[in-house]
Amino acid sequence: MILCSLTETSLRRKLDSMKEQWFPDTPGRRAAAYWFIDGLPEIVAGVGFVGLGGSAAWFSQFRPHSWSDRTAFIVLGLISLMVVFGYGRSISLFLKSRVTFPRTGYVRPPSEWEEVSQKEAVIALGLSGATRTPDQNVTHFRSSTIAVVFCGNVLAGVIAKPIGLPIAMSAVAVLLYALHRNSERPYHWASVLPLPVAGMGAMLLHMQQDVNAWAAVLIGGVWLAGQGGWRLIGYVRRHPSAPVESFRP
Amino acid sequence: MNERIREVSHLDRLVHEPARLQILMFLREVEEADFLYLQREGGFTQGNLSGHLSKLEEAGYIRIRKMFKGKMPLTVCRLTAAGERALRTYCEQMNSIMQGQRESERAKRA
Repeated sequence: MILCSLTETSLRRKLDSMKEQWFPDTPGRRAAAYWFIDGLPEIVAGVGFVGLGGSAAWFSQFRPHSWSDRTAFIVLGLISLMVVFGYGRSISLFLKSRVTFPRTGYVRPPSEWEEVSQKEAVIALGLSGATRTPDQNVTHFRSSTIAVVFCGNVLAGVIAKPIGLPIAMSAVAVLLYALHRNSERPYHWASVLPLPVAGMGAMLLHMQQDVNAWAAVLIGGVWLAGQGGWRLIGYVRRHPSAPVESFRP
Repeated sequence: MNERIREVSHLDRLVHEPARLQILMFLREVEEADFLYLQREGGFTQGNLSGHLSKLEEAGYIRIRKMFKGKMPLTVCRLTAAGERALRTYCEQMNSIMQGQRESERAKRA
């Protein structure tokens, strides 16, 4: 019945759109997606944001005067910054090797998009003869997530009203969904909904304006770590133990 | 016989086999991967993949490092420069053959 109602053109268009969805699934892109299969990179980034946003919000709220409190804030903030910007990848690799490896095997972790974009373009092989980027095993997750979370931070600070936080978190949700839609780690639209809801909840706490701005980073971090945690639980349940390989040359 | 069609006989048979071609193309994209990952992604059986990897290693197209991670054996495969060259040559040859095929079809239609 449904098939009969399809015209030839619409059927062809449907087939073309199916092709478009399937063909970009190259080994390099699959390898990049594999980095996020166990959720650990998200957990690490999320914990970094929680540390940074939490310590900054706490400092803004209580304005500590003793040097020990100030030092504790600075140390926590610096560690969180290093986790978010510098050592997140190494920490993720360390955790992967201890927690989830080798359930489904090992593949070279994806390069960061910023590093690859600086490399010279290389003419690729391929039966079509078309050129492609030198390496498709690339991720822009870190840079885009940092940009989006800090965009929420700035927005919540700029809108100097309590409603600023829900607006900022809605913007963060939309940006996270849109930027990662076709990436190696896409988010379902329903999975970003807790962000504006958390923003609304935080608004009801009537926090100071500068605390509001850092609360955006805190909420972003909790959400990210939650997403990673959910993935990790699912992954470990699906693959309770590692299969034994038997390579015999 | 068309010169381009004759080129088919010059194809590297080691690369031309679909499973081995798949392995080489995987490794070309990801630089290095272990046995389990290749098995999962390619849908190979362990014996089948072992055989193909051994042949590719003998030809010098891939390098295999065997190690242990705790008590788990880990076999990491990496494409060598010779392997990359062989794959590139193969793709160029196939391109040329397909081009010839398309031209002759066009000529037939005309």
